[in-house]
Amino acid sequence: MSLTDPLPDRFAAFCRRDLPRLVRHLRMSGYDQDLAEDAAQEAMIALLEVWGTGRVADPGAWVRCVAGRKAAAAVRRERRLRELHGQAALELELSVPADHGDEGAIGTTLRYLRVLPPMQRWVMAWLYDGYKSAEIAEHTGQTPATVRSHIRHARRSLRPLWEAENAETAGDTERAGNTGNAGHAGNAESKEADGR
Amino acid sequence: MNESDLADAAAFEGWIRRTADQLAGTVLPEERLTEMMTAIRAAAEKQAGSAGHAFEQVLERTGTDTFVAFRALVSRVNPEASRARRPADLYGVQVFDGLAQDEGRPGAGGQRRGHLTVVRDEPPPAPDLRLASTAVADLLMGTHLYGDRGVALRELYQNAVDACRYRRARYEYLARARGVTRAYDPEITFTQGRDDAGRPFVECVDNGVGMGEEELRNLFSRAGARFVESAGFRAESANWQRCVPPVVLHHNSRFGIGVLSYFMLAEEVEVTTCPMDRHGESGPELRLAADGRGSAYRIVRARERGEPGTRVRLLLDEPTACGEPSLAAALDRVLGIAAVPTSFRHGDDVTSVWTPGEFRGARAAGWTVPCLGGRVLWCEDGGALLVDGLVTEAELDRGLAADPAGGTLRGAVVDLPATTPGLVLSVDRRRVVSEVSATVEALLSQAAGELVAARAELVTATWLERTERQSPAVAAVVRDALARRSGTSG
Repeated sequence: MSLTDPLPDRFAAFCRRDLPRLVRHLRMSGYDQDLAEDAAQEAMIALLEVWGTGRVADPGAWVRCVAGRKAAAAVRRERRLRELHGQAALELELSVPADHGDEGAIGTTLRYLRVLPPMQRWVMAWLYDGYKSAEIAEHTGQTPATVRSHIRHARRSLRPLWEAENAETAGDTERAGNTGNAGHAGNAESKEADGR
Repeated sequence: MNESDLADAAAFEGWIRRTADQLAGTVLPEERLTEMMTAIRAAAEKQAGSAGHAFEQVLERTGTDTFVAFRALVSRVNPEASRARRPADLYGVQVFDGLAQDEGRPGAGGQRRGHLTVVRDEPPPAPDLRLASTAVADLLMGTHLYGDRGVALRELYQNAVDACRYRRARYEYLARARGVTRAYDPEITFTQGRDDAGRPFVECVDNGVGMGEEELRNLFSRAGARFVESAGFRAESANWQRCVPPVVLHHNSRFGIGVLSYFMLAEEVEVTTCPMDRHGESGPELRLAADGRGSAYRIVRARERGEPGTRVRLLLDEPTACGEPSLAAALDRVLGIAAVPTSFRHGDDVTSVWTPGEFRGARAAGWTVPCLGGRVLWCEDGGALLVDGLVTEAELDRGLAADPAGGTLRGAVVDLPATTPGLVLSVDRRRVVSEVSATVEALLSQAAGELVAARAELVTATWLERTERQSPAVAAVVRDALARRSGTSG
C-alpha cells in the first residue's frame, strides 16, 4: 500500500477478501448481480466509517447485515417507484432476480437455490461464508434449532448438486446417476476466475 | 441424527467448503473487484468530511447528546438546516427539503406554519410533517448505531417503563395529597405480528401516563426529548416534593438516541396514545400515523376519551430474503430484569414473560441463585452487567467488569441502578463507559457471602475454574468468601 492510500491496510485487505464473498452472499440471498455489487460496495464504505473504532466486533457479520438491509431497501424503493408510475406489478418478487447469463458453477448453484424458501437461501448464504449454525442464529435472529432445520432442508433439496460434485472430486469416473444438472462443476472457466 | 445423516452433513459441508471460494471468484471477477476497490478508495477520501463522520465526532465530543450530534449530521447533509430557529423541527421534512418556510420568529403567536397540526376527523389540506424516515435511516446507516434491533426494542421498553412510573407517581401524589387511592397494575406488552394489510410489525403497549397533543407532536421532533425538563413536569414535581414522604419518579429518559432508534428497525411508526392528567382523568385518544404513501405523518384525534396508555407500533422492513426473525430473542438479549411486568407475544403465543425482580434472558443459564434482593444473581453459565435491568457491556480494560476474553461478566448477573454514582453509559446505553469495578466488586463480595452461606454446594471446583478463565476477579471474590466462611466456622 502506498503512503497516500486512504484505506487502512487491514481494511483494504478485508475488502479484497470479503467483497467477492459479500457479493456471493447477496446473490445467494436472492438479489441480482447489480444490486448485490452496489449494496456490497456501499456496505464496505459504511464499514469504513466505523473501522478501527472498536465498535464493530465482527466486521464480517456487520457488513453482511448492513449490505442485506441496503439491498432490501433498494428493492423496496424500486417497487414503490413502479407502483407510483402505475406500471403493472412486474413480478418484482425478491426471490426472482433476472437470470442474466450466470454461467458455470455459480449459475447452477443459483438455479438450485432459487427453488429454496427464502429463509433456507439466507441460511445457505451464511453457511457459504463459513458461519456456524449458532453464529447464523445470532446474526439472523433465529434459534439455533431453526437454523439447523433450515440447513437440513436445504441439504436435502440440494442433494443432486453436492452429491454429484462430491462424486467428481472423489475421482469417480462415473457420473453419480442423477440429472446432469450439476455436470459442469469445476470447469476451467471458473477455476481461472478464482485465481486471485 | 443417525449415521447416514451425519455422513450427509459432512459431505454437504465439505462441498460448501470446496466450492465457496470458487463461487465467490466467479460471481465477482477480478476486474470488477478492482473497480469496486477504486470506488471505495474514492469514498474514503471524501469520508473525512462526511456527514456520518461528523456525527461520530460530535458523539465523541459531547459524550451523550445524540440530539446535538444528529443536528450536526443534518447540517452536513443540508446546510439550510443550520438556519433552523427551532431545533424541534430537525426530524421534519423541512430539514431535508430546506427550511425556507420556517424562517419566522420562533414561537411567534404559537404559529406552527408548515408543521404538524392536530385535526379532527378530516385530513389536513397538505401533508404537515414528513418524517423522511428514509432520509433518517440513510443518515444513520453510516453510523455504528445502525442495524441493532436491540437498541430500538430497548428504547420502546424504557419509554414504556417511564410512562408507567409517571402514572404511578401521579397516583401516589393523589393518594398523599388528596387521599384518593386508585388501583394500578402497570403492564408492558410487546407483540410481533402482521397488520390487516399483511405488513409485519412489532409493537409495545403500556398502560402508563400516555401523551398529550404537545408531547406527541414533539415526539419525533427532538430525539430523546426529556420530559423531565419541561415546565409542566417541573411544576408537578415541585408539588411532589412537598409531600411527606416526597413522591419520587425514577426515570430512564435522559440523553440518548431516543425514538430516532425506532427507525433502525421500522419503516414506519404509528403511535396511539391517551394521556392521563394529574387529576387521574383520561383525555382524548390521539393517533400519529403515516399517510398512505408513508412519507407524511399526521395526528388525528381518534376518540374523545380513551384508556390511558401508549401503543407504539413499528412497521418493519418487509421481510427480505431474511424472512421474519423473531424479535423475542433480541429482547431476551437486552432485557434482564424488568421493572414492570412485561411480556412478549408472537402472534397469539406468549413467548417470554418478565416478572419484576426476576431475571430472565439469554445471558444466564443452569442454576441461578439470587442474592441481595435480586441485585446479584449467581449463575452456572453466562453472566452479565445490567443497568436498571438492561444488559450492558462494560467497555473497560481493567477491573472486575472487564474480562480477559473481552466479553462480559461471567458467573454472575449484576444489576446496577442507573443512579449509581460514577456510572456513565454510552449514547446507545449499551455500554458502561466509566469505571464501576469497585461498586460491582463490593456488591459481588456481599453477595458471595450470601451464596456460600446458602448454597455452598453449587460452588464446585469446576464452576470456579470455568469462572476464573473468563472473570478471574469474580472467582477470586467467591474464593475469598469461601475462605472467610471456613475461617469463621473452623
